[in-house]
Amino acid sequence: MKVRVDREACIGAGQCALVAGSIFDQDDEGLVILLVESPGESSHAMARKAATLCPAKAISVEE
Amino acid sequence: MAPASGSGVIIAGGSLAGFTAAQALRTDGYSGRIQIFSGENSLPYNRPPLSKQILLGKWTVEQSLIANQEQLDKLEIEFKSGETVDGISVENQEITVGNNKFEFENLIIATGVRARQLSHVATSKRTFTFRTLADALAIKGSIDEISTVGVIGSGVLGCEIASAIATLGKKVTILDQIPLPNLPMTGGHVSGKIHELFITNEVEMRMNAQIENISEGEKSVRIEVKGGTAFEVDILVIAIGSIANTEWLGNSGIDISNGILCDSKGEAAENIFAAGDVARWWSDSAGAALKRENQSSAIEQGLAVGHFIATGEESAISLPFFWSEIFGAKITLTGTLEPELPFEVLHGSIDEDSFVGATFRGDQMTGVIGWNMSKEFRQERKKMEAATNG
Repeated sequence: MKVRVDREACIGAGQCALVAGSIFDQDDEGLVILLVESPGESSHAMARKAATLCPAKAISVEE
Repeated sequence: MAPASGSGVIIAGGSLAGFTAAQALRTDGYSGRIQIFSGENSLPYNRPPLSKQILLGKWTVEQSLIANQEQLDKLEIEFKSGETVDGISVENQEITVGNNKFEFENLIIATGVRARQLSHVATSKRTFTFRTLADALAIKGSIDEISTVGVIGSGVLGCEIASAIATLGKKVTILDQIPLPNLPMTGGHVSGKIHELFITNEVEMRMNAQIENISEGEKSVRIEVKGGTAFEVDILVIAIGSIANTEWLGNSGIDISNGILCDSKGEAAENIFAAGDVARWWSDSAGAALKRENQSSAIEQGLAVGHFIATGEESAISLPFFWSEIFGAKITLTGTLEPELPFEVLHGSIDEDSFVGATFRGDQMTGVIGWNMSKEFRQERKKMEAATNG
Protein backbone atom coordinates (compact mmCIF):
# COMPACT_ATOMS: atom_id res chain seq x y z
CA MET A 1 0.00 0.00 0.00
CA LYS A 2 1.20 3.47 -0.93
CA VAL A 3 -0.24 6.52 0.87
CA ARG A 4 -0.06 10.01 -0.62
CA VAL A 5 -1.07 13.35 0.86
CA ASP A 6 -1.80 16.63 -0.89
CA ARG A 7 -0.77 19.43 1.44
CA GLU A 8 -2.19 22.01 -0.98
CA ALA A 9 -5.66 20.50 -0.61
CA CYS A 10 -5.35 19.82 3.15
CA ILE A 11 -7.53 22.06 5.31
CA GLY A 12 -6.16 20.92 8.65
CA ALA A 13 -9.25 19.19 9.95
CA GLY A 14 -7.11 16.56 11.62
CA GLN A 15 -9.46 13.65 10.93
CA CYS A 16 -6.53 11.54 9.65
CA ALA A 17 -4.36 12.07 12.70
CA LEU A 18 -7.34 11.21 14.85
CA VAL A 19 -8.19 7.85 13.25
CA ALA A 20 -4.68 6.90 12.11
CA GLY A 21 -2.20 8.72 14.35
CA SER A 22 0.58 6.24 13.53
CA ILE A 23 0.44 7.22 9.83
CA PHE A 24 -0.49 10.92 9.92
CA ASP A 25 0.40 13.91 12.02
CA GLN A 26 -0.25 17.67 11.71
CA ASP A 27 2.28 20.49 11.58
CA ASP A 28 1.93 23.70 13.59
CA GLU A 29 -0.61 25.08 11.11
CA GLY A 30 -2.57 21.87 11.26
CA LEU A 31 -1.57 20.65 7.82
CA VAL A 32 -1.06 16.96 7.28
CA ILE A 33 2.34 15.31 7.70
CA LEU A 34 2.71 11.81 6.31
CA LEU A 35 4.67 9.71 8.80
CA VAL A 36 4.59 6.38 6.98
CA GLU A 37 4.39 6.11 3.20
CA SER A 38 3.95 2.36 3.03
CA PRO A 39 2.12 1.21 6.15
CA GLY A 40 2.13 -2.45 7.13
CA GLU A 41 -0.85 -4.63 6.46
CA SER A 42 -2.26 -4.30 9.96
CA SER A 43 -2.63 -0.54 9.34
CA HIS A 44 -4.29 -0.73 5.92
CA ALA A 45 -7.86 -0.47 7.17
CA MET A 46 -6.87 2.54 9.28
CA ALA A 47 -5.24 4.27 6.30
CA ARG A 48 -8.31 3.63 4.12
CA LYS A 49 -10.55 5.06 6.81
CA ALA A 50 -8.42 8.20 7.06
CA ALA A 51 -8.61 8.68 3.29
CA THR A 52 -12.38 8.27 3.31
CA LEU A 53 -12.90 10.59 6.27
CA CYS A 54 -10.66 13.38 4.98
CA PRO A 55 -13.00 16.31 4.32
CA ALA A 56 -10.64 17.78 1.72
CA LYS A 57 -10.02 14.43 0.00
CA ALA A 58 -6.32 15.21 0.38
CA ILE A 59 -5.30 11.61 1.10
CA SER A 60 -5.10 8.90 -1.51
CA VAL A 61 -4.36 5.25 -0.95
CA GLU A 62 -3.04 3.05 -3.69
CA GLU A 63 -3.20 -0.70 -3.15
CA MET B 1 -23.72 -12.33 0.63
CA ALA B 2 -25.52 -11.11 -2.45
CA PRO B 3 -24.93 -12.90 -5.75
CA ALA B 4 -22.83 -11.24 -8.43
CA SER B 5 -25.84 -10.97 -10.70
CA GLY B 6 -29.34 -9.89 -9.71
CA SER B 7 -30.64 -6.55 -8.58
CA GLY B 8 -28.12 -5.88 -5.79
CA VAL B 9 -27.88 -2.50 -4.13
CA ILE B 10 -29.41 0.61 -5.62
CA ILE B 11 -28.26 3.97 -4.35
CA ALA B 12 -30.50 6.97 -4.99
CA GLY B 13 -28.22 10.00 -5.07
CA GLY B 14 -24.63 10.18 -6.24
CA SER B 15 -23.05 12.65 -3.90
CA LEU B 16 -20.78 12.06 -0.92
CA ALA B 17 -23.01 9.80 1.22
CA GLY B 18 -24.10 7.69 -1.75
CA PHE B 19 -20.66 7.24 -3.20
CA THR B 20 -19.11 6.57 0.23
CA ALA B 21 -21.70 3.83 0.85
CA ALA B 22 -20.86 2.23 -2.50
CA GLN B 23 -17.16 2.38 -1.77
CA ALA B 24 -17.70 0.88 1.69
CA LEU B 25 -19.73 -1.98 0.21
CA ARG B 26 -16.78 -2.92 -1.99
CA THR B 27 -14.14 -2.38 0.71
CA ASP B 28 -16.15 -4.68 2.97
CA GLY B 29 -16.36 -7.41 0.34
CA TYR B 30 -19.79 -6.94 -1.22
CA SER B 31 -19.68 -8.51 -4.69
CA GLY B 32 -23.23 -7.88 -5.91
CA ARG B 33 -24.36 -5.27 -8.36
CA ILE B 34 -24.15 -1.61 -7.29
CA GLN B 35 -26.06 1.03 -9.24
CA ILE B 36 -26.00 4.72 -8.33
CA PHE B 37 -28.63 7.02 -9.84
CA SER B 38 -27.71 10.68 -9.60
CA GLY B 39 -29.99 13.52 -10.62
CA GLU B 40 -27.02 15.77 -11.27
CA ASN B 41 -25.06 15.81 -14.50
CA SER B 42 -21.74 15.21 -12.87
CA LEU B 43 -19.55 12.52 -11.39
CA PRO B 44 -19.62 12.50 -7.57
CA TYR B 45 -18.11 15.67 -6.16
CA ASN B 46 -17.32 17.16 -2.81
CA ARG B 47 -19.57 20.04 -1.77
CA PRO B 48 -17.49 21.98 0.81
CA PRO B 49 -14.98 23.25 -1.81
CA LEU B 50 -17.84 24.83 -3.79
CA SER B 51 -18.11 27.81 -1.44
CA LYS B 52 -14.35 27.88 -0.89
CA GLN B 53 -11.78 26.75 -3.48
CA ILE B 54 -14.16 26.57 -6.46
CA LEU B 55 -15.65 30.01 -5.88
CA LEU B 56 -12.19 31.46 -5.31
CA GLY B 57 -10.99 29.87 -8.53
CA LYS B 58 -8.24 27.96 -6.71
CA TRP B 59 -9.46 24.54 -7.78
CA THR B 60 -10.64 23.08 -11.06
CA VAL B 61 -13.85 21.07 -11.22
CA GLU B 62 -11.73 17.90 -11.47
CA GLN B 63 -10.13 18.67 -8.12
CA SER B 64 -13.53 18.68 -6.46
CA LEU B 65 -14.49 15.25 -7.80
CA ILE B 66 -14.59 12.43 -5.26
CA ALA B 67 -14.16 9.76 -7.92
CA ASN B 68 -13.43 9.71 -11.61
CA GLN B 69 -14.83 7.23 -14.14
CA GLU B 70 -11.76 5.02 -13.92
CA GLN B 71 -12.16 4.65 -10.16
CA LEU B 72 -15.87 3.92 -10.52
CA ASP B 73 -15.11 1.24 -13.12
CA LYS B 74 -12.45 -0.29 -10.92
CA LEU B 75 -14.94 -0.52 -8.05
CA GLU B 76 -17.57 -1.93 -10.45
CA ILE B 77 -20.02 0.82 -9.57
CA GLU B 78 -22.56 1.63 -12.28
CA PHE B 79 -22.88 5.41 -11.99
CA LYS B 80 -25.83 6.90 -13.88
CA SER B 81 -25.72 10.68 -13.91
CA GLY B 82 -28.67 12.81 -14.91
CA GLU B 83 -31.09 10.07 -13.82
CA THR B 84 -33.31 11.12 -10.95
CA VAL B 85 -35.09 8.46 -8.89
CA ASP B 86 -38.68 9.68 -8.79
CA GLY B 87 -40.76 6.90 -7.28
CA ILE B 88 -40.70 3.84 -5.03
CA SER B 89 -42.72 0.73 -4.27
CA VAL B 90 -41.69 -0.59 -0.87
CA GLU B 91 -43.91 -3.64 -1.37
CA ASN B 92 -42.32 -4.62 -4.70
CA GLN B 93 -38.86 -3.44 -3.56
CA GLU B 94 -38.39 -1.34 -6.65
CA ILE B 95 -37.77 2.24 -7.62
CA THR B 96 -38.71 4.17 -10.72
CA VAL B 97 -36.55 6.45 -12.82
CA GLY B 98 -38.77 8.13 -15.37
CA ASN B 99 -40.53 5.29 -17.21
CA ASN B 100 -38.19 2.58 -16.00
CA LYS B 101 -38.46 0.36 -12.94
CA PHE B 102 -35.50 -1.15 -11.12
CA GLU B 103 -35.70 -3.83 -8.45
CA PHE B 104 -33.38 -3.76 -5.47
CA GLU B 105 -32.28 -6.12 -2.73
CA ASN B 106 -31.18 -3.10 -0.71
CA LEU B 107 -31.87 0.55 -1.34
CA ILE B 108 -29.74 3.37 0.06
CA ILE B 109 -31.45 6.75 -0.11
CA ALA B 110 -28.93 9.57 -0.34
CA THR B 111 -30.88 12.15 -2.31
CA GLY B 112 -29.68 14.99 -0.12
CA VAL B 113 -31.28 18.39 0.20
CA ARG B 114 -31.81 21.32 -2.09
CA ALA B 115 -31.47 25.02 -1.47
CA ARG B 116 -34.46 26.71 0.10
CA GLN B 117 -35.80 29.56 -1.98
CA LEU B 118 -37.30 32.83 -0.81
CA SER B 119 -41.00 32.53 -1.53
CA HIS B 120 -41.26 35.82 -3.39
CA VAL B 121 -38.15 35.44 -5.53
CA ALA B 122 -37.44 33.32 -8.57
CA THR B 123 -33.81 32.53 -9.28
CA SER B 124 -32.88 34.07 -12.56
CA LYS B 125 -29.96 35.80 -14.20
CA ARG B 126 -28.92 37.83 -11.17
CA THR B 127 -30.35 35.88 -8.27
CA PHE B 128 -28.79 32.56 -7.29
CA THR B 129 -29.17 29.83 -4.74
CA PHE B 130 -26.11 27.82 -3.80
CA ARG B 131 -26.07 24.07 -3.53
CA THR B 132 -24.66 22.38 -6.59
CA LEU B 133 -21.53 22.52 -8.68
CA ALA B 134 -23.63 24.15 -11.39
CA ASP B 135 -24.69 26.89 -8.92
CA ALA B 136 -21.08 27.57 -7.92
CA LEU B 137 -19.93 27.73 -11.53
CA ALA B 138 -22.80 30.05 -12.48
CA ILE B 139 -21.82 32.53 -9.77
CA LYS B 140 -18.14 32.20 -10.55
CA GLY B 141 -18.94 32.73 -14.24
CA SER B 142 -20.57 36.09 -13.55
CA ILE B 143 -18.02 37.32 -11.01
CA ASP B 144 -15.69 39.15 -13.42
CA GLU B 145 -18.46 41.45 -14.60
CA ILE B 146 -19.79 42.50 -11.23
CA SER B 147 -18.64 44.60 -8.31
CA THR B 148 -21.36 44.33 -5.65
CA VAL B 149 -22.93 41.19 -4.19
CA GLY B 150 -25.72 40.67 -1.68
CA VAL B 151 -25.86 37.49 0.37
CA ILE B 152 -29.06 36.64 2.18
CA GLY B 153 -28.42 34.33 5.11
CA SER B 154 -25.58 34.32 7.64
CA GLY B 155 -25.34 30.62 8.38
CA VAL B 156 -22.23 28.73 7.42
CA LEU B 157 -22.95 28.77 3.71
CA GLY B 158 -23.77 32.49 3.58
CA CYS B 159 -20.65 33.27 5.64
CA GLU B 160 -18.39 31.19 3.41
CA ILE B 161 -19.81 32.61 0.18
CA ALA B 162 -19.54 36.18 1.48
CA SER B 163 -15.97 35.58 2.62
CA ALA B 164 -14.91 34.03 -0.70
CA ILE B 165 -16.51 36.75 -2.82
CA ALA B 166 -15.14 39.58 -0.65
CA THR B 167 -11.68 37.99 -0.92
CA LEU B 168 -12.05 38.39 -4.69
CA GLY B 169 -12.30 42.14 -4.15
CA LYS B 170 -16.07 42.56 -4.44
CA LYS B 171 -18.21 44.73 -2.20
CA VAL B 172 -20.37 42.28 -0.22
CA THR B 173 -23.44 42.91 1.89
CA ILE B 174 -24.84 40.21 4.19
CA LEU B 175 -28.51 40.38 5.13
CA ASP B 176 -30.23 38.30 7.76
CA GLN B 177 -33.16 38.65 10.09
CA ILE B 178 -31.15 37.40 13.09
CA PRO B 179 -28.90 39.79 15.07
CA LEU B 180 -25.56 37.99 14.51
CA PRO B 181 -24.22 35.34 12.13
CA ASN B 182 -24.57 31.80 13.44
CA LEU B 183 -22.61 28.70 12.53
CA PRO B 184 -24.13 25.26 13.19
CA MET B 185 -23.56 23.65 16.58
CA THR B 186 -21.70 26.72 17.90
CA GLY B 187 -24.51 27.79 20.21
CA GLY B 188 -23.86 31.39 19.20
CA HIS B 189 -20.63 31.46 21.21
CA VAL B 190 -18.48 32.67 18.30
CA SER B 191 -21.14 34.76 16.56
CA GLY B 192 -19.69 38.06 17.81
CA LYS B 193 -16.25 37.01 16.64
CA ILE B 194 -17.53 36.13 13.18
CA HIS B 195 -19.46 39.39 12.94
CA GLU B 196 -16.27 41.25 13.83
CA LEU B 197 -14.33 39.28 11.20
CA PHE B 198 -16.73 40.45 8.51
CA ILE B 199 -16.61 44.07 9.68
CA THR B 200 -12.78 43.99 9.70
CA ASN B 201 -12.87 42.73 6.14
CA GLU B 202 -15.25 45.50 5.06
CA VAL B 203 -18.31 43.37 4.51
CA GLU B 204 -21.46 45.34 5.17
CA MET B 205 -23.60 43.59 7.78
CA ARG B 206 -27.32 44.28 7.59
CA MET B 207 -28.50 42.21 10.50
CA ASN B 208 -32.01 42.25 12.03
CA ALA B 209 -33.15 42.94 8.48
CA GLN B 210 -36.69 42.11 7.42
CA ILE B 211 -36.71 41.86 3.66
CA GLU B 212 -39.87 43.30 2.20
CA ASN B 213 -39.24 43.02 -1.49
CA ILE B 214 -36.69 41.88 -4.02
CA SER B 215 -36.95 42.88 -7.64
CA GLU B 216 -34.60 42.07 -10.42
CA GLY B 217 -33.84 44.69 -13.04
CA GLU B 218 -31.82 44.52 -16.21
CA LYS B 219 -28.53 45.33 -14.52
CA SER B 220 -29.09 44.91 -10.79
CA VAL B 221 -31.19 43.45 -8.03
CA ARG B 222 -33.07 45.86 -5.78
CA ILE B 223 -33.62 44.90 -2.16
CA GLU B 224 -36.08 46.64 0.09
CA VAL B 225 -35.68 46.22 3.82
CA LYS B 226 -38.32 47.13 6.39
CA GLY B 227 -37.60 50.53 7.91
CA GLY B 228 -34.48 51.06 5.81
CA THR B 229 -33.49 52.49 2.48
CA ALA B 230 -33.65 50.25 -0.55
CA PHE B 231 -30.34 49.34 -2.14
CA GLU B 232 -29.07 47.59 -5.23
CA VAL B 233 -26.51 44.88 -5.85
CA ASP B 234 -25.19 43.41 -9.08
CA ILE B 235 -26.02 39.86 -8.02
CA LEU B 236 -27.81 38.30 -5.07
CA VAL B 237 -27.05 34.93 -3.48
CA ILE B 238 -29.71 33.29 -1.33
CA ALA B 239 -28.38 30.96 1.38
CA ILE B 240 -31.26 30.43 3.77
CA GLY B 241 -31.17 26.71 4.44
CA SER B 242 -32.37 23.58 2.76
CA ILE B 243 -35.26 21.25 1.99
CA ALA B 244 -34.88 17.45 2.01
CA ASN B 245 -35.38 15.76 -1.35
CA THR B 246 -38.02 13.31 -0.16
CA GLU B 247 -41.13 14.16 -2.19
CA TRP B 248 -40.69 10.99 -4.26
CA LEU B 249 -41.20 8.92 -1.10
CA GLY B 250 -44.57 10.53 -0.44
CA ASN B 251 -46.69 7.38 -0.71
CA SER B 252 -44.14 4.92 0.60
CA GLY B 253 -45.19 4.91 4.27
CA ILE B 254 -41.63 5.94 5.21
CA ASP B 255 -41.52 8.76 7.78
CA ILE B 256 -40.20 11.77 5.87
CA SER B 257 -41.08 14.51 8.34
CA ASN B 258 -37.92 16.63 8.49
CA GLY B 259 -35.81 14.05 6.64
CA ILE B 260 -36.02 10.28 6.48
CA LEU B 261 -36.39 8.76 9.92
CA CYS B 262 -33.93 5.89 10.43
CA ASP B 263 -32.87 3.65 13.29
CA SER B 264 -29.31 3.80 14.63
CA LYS B 265 -27.97 1.73 11.72
CA GLY B 266 -29.65 3.89 9.09
CA GLU B 267 -32.55 1.56 8.27
CA ALA B 268 -35.82 3.33 7.41
CA ALA B 269 -37.88 0.32 6.25
CA GLU B 270 -37.14 -3.28 5.34
CA ASN B 271 -33.97 -3.32 3.20
CA ILE B 272 -34.21 0.46 2.82
CA PHE B 273 -31.57 2.72 4.32
CA ALA B 274 -30.82 6.43 4.21
CA ALA B 275 -27.59 8.37 4.66
CA GLY B 276 -26.33 11.93 4.50
CA ASP B 277 -28.18 15.24 4.55
CA VAL B 278 -31.54 13.63 3.72
CA ALA B 279 -31.45 11.27 6.70
CA ARG B 280 -32.45 11.64 10.34
CA TRP B 281 -30.75 8.88 12.32
CA TRP B 282 -31.71 7.73 15.77
CA SER B 283 -28.96 8.51 18.28
CA ASP B 284 -28.96 6.49 21.50
CA SER B 285 -26.74 9.01 23.27
CA ALA B 286 -29.00 11.93 22.34
CA GLY B 287 -32.19 9.92 22.86
CA ALA B 288 -33.59 11.45 19.68
CA ALA B 289 -33.38 11.21 15.92
CA LEU B 290 -31.02 13.90 14.65
CA LYS B 291 -30.69 15.44 11.23
CA ARG B 292 -27.05 16.28 10.81
CA GLU B 293 -26.34 18.19 7.66
CA ASN B 294 -22.59 18.11 7.64
CA GLN B 295 -19.95 16.42 5.60
CA SER B 296 -18.50 14.15 8.27
CA SER B 297 -21.95 12.74 9.06
CA ALA B 298 -22.56 12.06 5.37
CA ILE B 299 -19.28 10.16 5.19
CA GLU B 300 -19.80 8.23 8.42
CA GLN B 301 -23.39 7.29 7.64
CA GLY B 302 -22.41 6.19 4.13
CA LEU B 303 -19.63 4.06 5.60
CA ALA B 304 -21.94 2.59 8.25
CA VAL B 305 -24.73 1.66 5.82
CA GLY B 306 -22.31 0.11 3.33
CA HIS B 307 -20.62 -1.81 6.12
CA PHE B 308 -23.94 -3.06 7.51
CA ILE B 309 -25.26 -4.28 4.16
CA ALA B 310 -21.97 -6.00 3.35
CA THR B 311 -21.33 -7.59 6.75
CA GLY B 312 -24.40 -7.30 8.97
CA GLU B 313 -22.34 -5.41 11.54
CA GLU B 314 -23.39 -2.07 13.00
CA SER B 315 -20.95 0.84 13.28
CA ALA B 316 -20.67 3.47 15.97
CA ILE B 317 -21.21 7.01 14.71
CA SER B 318 -18.85 9.67 16.06
CA LEU B 319 -19.90 13.01 17.42
CA PRO B 320 -20.67 15.48 14.63
CA PHE B 321 -17.64 17.28 13.26
CA PHE B 322 -17.82 20.52 11.34
CA TRP B 323 -15.20 22.81 9.77
CA SER B 324 -15.22 26.06 7.92
CA GLU B 325 -12.88 28.71 6.63
CA ILE B 326 -13.93 32.36 6.78
CA PHE B 327 -11.45 35.04 5.74
CA GLY B 328 -8.65 32.56 6.34
CA ALA B 329 -9.80 31.70 9.88
CA LYS B 330 -9.83 27.91 10.17
CA ILE B 331 -12.72 26.86 12.34
CA THR B 332 -13.22 23.28 13.53
CA LEU B 333 -15.88 21.96 15.85
CA THR B 334 -16.86 18.62 17.37
CA GLY B 335 -19.95 17.96 19.42
CA THR B 336 -22.27 20.82 20.22
CA LEU B 337 -21.57 24.08 22.04
CA GLU B 338 -24.69 24.59 24.12
CA PRO B 339 -26.08 28.14 24.00
CA GLU B 340 -27.09 28.18 27.67
CA LEU B 341 -23.71 26.99 28.99
CA PRO B 342 -20.74 29.32 29.58
CA PHE B 343 -18.02 29.29 26.95
CA GLU B 344 -14.59 28.49 28.34
CA VAL B 345 -11.36 29.26 26.49
CA LEU B 346 -8.95 26.32 27.00
CA HIS B 347 -5.99 27.40 24.85
CA GLY B 348 -4.85 30.63 23.22
CA SER B 349 -6.95 33.77 23.26
CA ILE B 350 -9.96 35.04 21.35
CA ASP B 351 -8.36 38.48 20.90
CA GLU B 352 -5.32 36.92 19.26
CA ASP B 353 -7.43 35.02 16.73
CA SER B 354 -6.17 31.68 17.88
CA PHE B 355 -8.05 29.70 20.49
CA VAL B 356 -9.74 26.49 21.52
CA GLY B 357 -12.92 26.79 23.55
CA ALA B 358 -15.61 24.52 24.90
CA THR B 359 -18.81 24.29 26.87
CA PHE B 360 -19.15 21.87 29.79
CA ARG B 361 -22.15 20.31 31.45
CA GLY B 362 -20.74 19.36 34.83
CA ASP B 363 -17.43 17.67 34.01
CA GLN B 364 -18.54 16.60 30.57
CA MET B 365 -17.45 18.62 27.55
CA THR B 366 -20.47 18.94 25.23
CA GLY B 367 -18.57 20.47 22.34
CA VAL B 368 -15.20 21.94 21.48
CA ILE B 369 -14.26 24.54 18.88
CA GLY B 370 -10.88 25.41 17.41
CA TRP B 371 -10.13 28.74 15.78
CA ASN B 372 -6.78 28.70 13.95
CA MET B 373 -5.60 26.13 16.47
CA SER B 374 -5.73 22.73 14.91
CA LYS B 375 -3.41 20.68 17.10
CA GLU B 376 -4.76 21.83 20.43
CA PHE B 377 -8.27 21.33 19.06
CA ARG B 378 -7.44 17.74 18.23
CA GLN B 379 -6.08 17.10 21.72
CA GLU B 380 -9.26 18.39 23.34
CA ARG B 381 -11.43 16.57 20.86
CA LYS B 382 -9.68 13.29 21.68
CA LYS B 383 -10.35 13.81 25.38
CA MET B 384 -14.00 14.56 24.73
CA GLU B 385 -14.52 11.57 22.49
CA ALA B 386 -12.75 9.24 24.91
CA ALA B 387 -15.06 10.45 27.68
CA THR B 388 -18.18 10.16 25.51
CA ASN B 389 -17.39 6.68 24.27
CA GLY B 390 -16.20 5.47 27.64
